[in-house]
Amino acid sequence: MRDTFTQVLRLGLAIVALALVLYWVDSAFLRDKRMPACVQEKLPPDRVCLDTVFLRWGGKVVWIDARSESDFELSHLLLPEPRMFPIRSGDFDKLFDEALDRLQQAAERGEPVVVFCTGACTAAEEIASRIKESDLVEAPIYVLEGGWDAIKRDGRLRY
Amino acid sequence: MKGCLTVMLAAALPAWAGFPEPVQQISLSYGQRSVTVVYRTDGSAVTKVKPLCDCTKTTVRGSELTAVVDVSNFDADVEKQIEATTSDGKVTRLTMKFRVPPVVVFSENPITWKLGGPAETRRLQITLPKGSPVTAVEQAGLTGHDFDYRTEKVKEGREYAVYITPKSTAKSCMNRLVLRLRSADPRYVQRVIYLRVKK
Repeated sequence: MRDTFTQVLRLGLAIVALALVLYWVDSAFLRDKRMPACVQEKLPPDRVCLDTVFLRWGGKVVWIDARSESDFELSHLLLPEPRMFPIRSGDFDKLFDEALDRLQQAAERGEPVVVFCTGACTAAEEIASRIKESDLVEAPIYVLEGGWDAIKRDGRLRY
Repeated sequence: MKGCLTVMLAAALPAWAGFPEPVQQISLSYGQRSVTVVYRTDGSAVTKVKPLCDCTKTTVRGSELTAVVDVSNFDADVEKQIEATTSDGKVTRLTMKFRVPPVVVFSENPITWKLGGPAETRRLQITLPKGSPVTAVEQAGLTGHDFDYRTEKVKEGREYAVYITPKSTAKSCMNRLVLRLRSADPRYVQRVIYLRVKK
């Protein structure tokens, strides 16, 4: 009886120890990389979840890729018509001008503009803000929550 | 008892320790390629750092965090952030506010005329700030046919003007006035002024 109790106690301690190790591994190495589920209601009005892009606009938005040139060259969205443009700091004027005609059509077509960068970055906010300040684009402009990481994880958009 | 008190004080220290200056303003000069920014805590050690831009590389030594920022691609005022965790577990978002000097200043852009309003001539002033990598406005050209324009050299290498008149304000339109600039840096050789008639 006493042996059984000792064995159960050891097993219990082993389980607790294993749980603690797993918790530590998760906290130290995995938590930052894991993306929390995007909840539209919890976001500020100028940010949008990828799910919302599909639910509200059927994925028909004009994408602005605000990542660095090297990241863009490595991989980017592959869309059937001019629906995605790279616009980044450093080349803003030139790239914005190249995208402008399509960005201006967006309002007429009822499409929003969605800007993204890698994920944990602020470039998308910066580019979105500069596009708004230009006063040349009437379509609503959003920043994609989770950025490129969310697009890759989701898998609905080809890249 | 004394030892116990010391431990308690040490444990309490991180609760008020943090970054006394979490926001720093940095003014850049023309042609500057990188900036080193140092943040110090008032006690606790920096345990984890997460720059929110590929442009920022960080190193930590105790309570000192050094960020080296590649600013060569900054072409307008911009803010960059770093998330720093201190030994008390507190996460602070450190902000660097960069002021980027403009290479060319336009009195307005876009230039807008009201649909149905008077088709009056407007003066666009172009100023090249002292020290700017742009040394002259060489040429102006219009894409579109909805406006007339003439250029004026007010002060060579410093100030120029373009007088622009819409041919009509009866319908909405947008043209581009493309300025060719003299600069050794290919990023600055062209600027676009947007001219439009709209509601």
